[in-house]
Amino acid sequence: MHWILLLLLAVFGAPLFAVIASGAIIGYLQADVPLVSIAIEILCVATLPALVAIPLFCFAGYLLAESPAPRLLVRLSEALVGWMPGGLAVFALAVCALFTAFTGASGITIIAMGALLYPALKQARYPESFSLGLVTTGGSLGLLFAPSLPLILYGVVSETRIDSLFRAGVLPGLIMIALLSAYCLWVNRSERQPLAGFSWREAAGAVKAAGWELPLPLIVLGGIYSGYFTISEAAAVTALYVLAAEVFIRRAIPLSRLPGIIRESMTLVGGIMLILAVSLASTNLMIDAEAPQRLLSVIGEVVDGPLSFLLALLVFLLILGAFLDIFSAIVLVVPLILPLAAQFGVHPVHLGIIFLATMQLGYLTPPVGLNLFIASYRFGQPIVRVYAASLPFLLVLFAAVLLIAFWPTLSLWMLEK
Amino acid sequence: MRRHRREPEPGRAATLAQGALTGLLSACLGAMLLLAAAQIFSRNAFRASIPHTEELLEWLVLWVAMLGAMAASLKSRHITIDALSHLLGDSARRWTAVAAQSFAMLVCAALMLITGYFWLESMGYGETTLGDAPRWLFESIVPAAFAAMAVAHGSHAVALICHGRLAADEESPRRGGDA
Repeated sequence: MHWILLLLLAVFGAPLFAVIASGAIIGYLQADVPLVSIAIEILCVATLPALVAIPLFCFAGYLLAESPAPRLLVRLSEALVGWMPGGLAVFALAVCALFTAFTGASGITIIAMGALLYPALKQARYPESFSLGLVTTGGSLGLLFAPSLPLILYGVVSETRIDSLFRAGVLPGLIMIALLSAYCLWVNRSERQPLAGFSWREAAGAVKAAGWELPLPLIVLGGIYSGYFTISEAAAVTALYVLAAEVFIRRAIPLSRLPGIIRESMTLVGGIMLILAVSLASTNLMIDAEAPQRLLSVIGEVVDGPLSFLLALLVFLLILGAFLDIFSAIVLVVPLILPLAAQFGVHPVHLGIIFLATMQLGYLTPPVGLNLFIASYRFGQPIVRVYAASLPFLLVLFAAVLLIAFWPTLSLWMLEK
Repeated sequence: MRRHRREPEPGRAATLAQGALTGLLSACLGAMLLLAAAQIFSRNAFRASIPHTEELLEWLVLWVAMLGAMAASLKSRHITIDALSHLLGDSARRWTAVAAQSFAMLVCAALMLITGYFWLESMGYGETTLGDAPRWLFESIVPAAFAAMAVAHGSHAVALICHGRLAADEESPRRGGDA
């Protein structure tokens, strides 16, 4: 009975941490485990490896969103490929992915980048519905690229090496962009005329203007893969670099704005980490109650091999993604499906990439995909119109997710290198 | 005669609390940045780690997490599923929001008692961290944050009953803590 009440509270807007914590309290009371264990689990959250990277990358992402970086990247896109039919659309996807990799919470991309890209695409004579679908979709691209927060959180929760996840996400992420790009070029195939003239002067000016932002991926990835930085150190270097570039060198963000940005970014971090903390308590309860083993025996009756397991997993994650936030889903579901995946021979890194790629679709899945609502609000479009505009992009991404799920080499190839 | 409902205004205490929270968050994040940078420099320049850095970073992560959670409670911006409220009418939506905020207040109060009990036990044991520093001092943020969060959610529930809106005057996002 109380589980139904908790479910009702959750679907009617109670904070998720409160729902999980109350479930844990009830479970501990029923299992006769001292409640003080919950306090120990909450304190343990800080000792999870690489967790320090989350607040630092999140702060860097929020700083970038407040800085002129979105405007400069859009200018760069227009200068380099604006002349090419379909070029601006393709470059917009790449720029959105790059931006989301740093901001993590994908709604920021729609607000910061979409607001600039949407008028730019319309001005370049792309169909309105296509432009709307593209910026809505672009808001969740990039979650598979380093240093996205969901990748780090998956690594923390599943105790998988985060640098392995960073490597594994590259090819699947590129596949997603490549398929979407192919779709963009196909839709705009009838447009053969150059949309604008190419200017070397403007291109050089745009590259120079974005000179502080362009090296960021190199600093993060180069530092990690060369072994010069750990993940946490790379996060600190990124945050310091963005802080120095945007606040002290470029002076694009006044010092007086910093406390507000810190507070905004740490509000998101606090929300994620609190869910993580209380979930540690509820996860322990589930493990003590042998929930994964019971789940395995139930699923084992329906699923008889890796392929059918992956299919069932995809269906489950698609439904989950339409209702649950990606961070909460990682914390709540990953500890349960990890042992199942291991049983069916799915590599934990491959599972992570499937998990995030499928959850990424959840941002665009009607009726409650988060990006659909943000785009509807941000661009003043009816939600049904946003559904229709995003649907073709959602189908293309679904095809990419199928490829990623059933072709493990895409995720694991870079690990073997 | 029709009475005008008084709109809620953030009091001086609330403004001061929000300022203190922002200051503490800034200090903790600044310390994390400086500490991590100093550690990289020390490791590469002197091939040595600064003592207790990892442990101090862990405490800072805990403080940032709890202070951030307090900030999320003050603005009612915690991650929610909230898949069905939009189907309700205005009045029903208001009362489900009251129920959700009251529930959050009760859970935070329970967590404050649980973590507060642990904190008192920790004080009694006299455990230390970072060398000789008392451990309870660093752990104190957990029950304190849950107490503040209980007050924040309680205030939202009261403001919703009296004025029909949250104390922070911001609606909770439908899903996903932050856009």
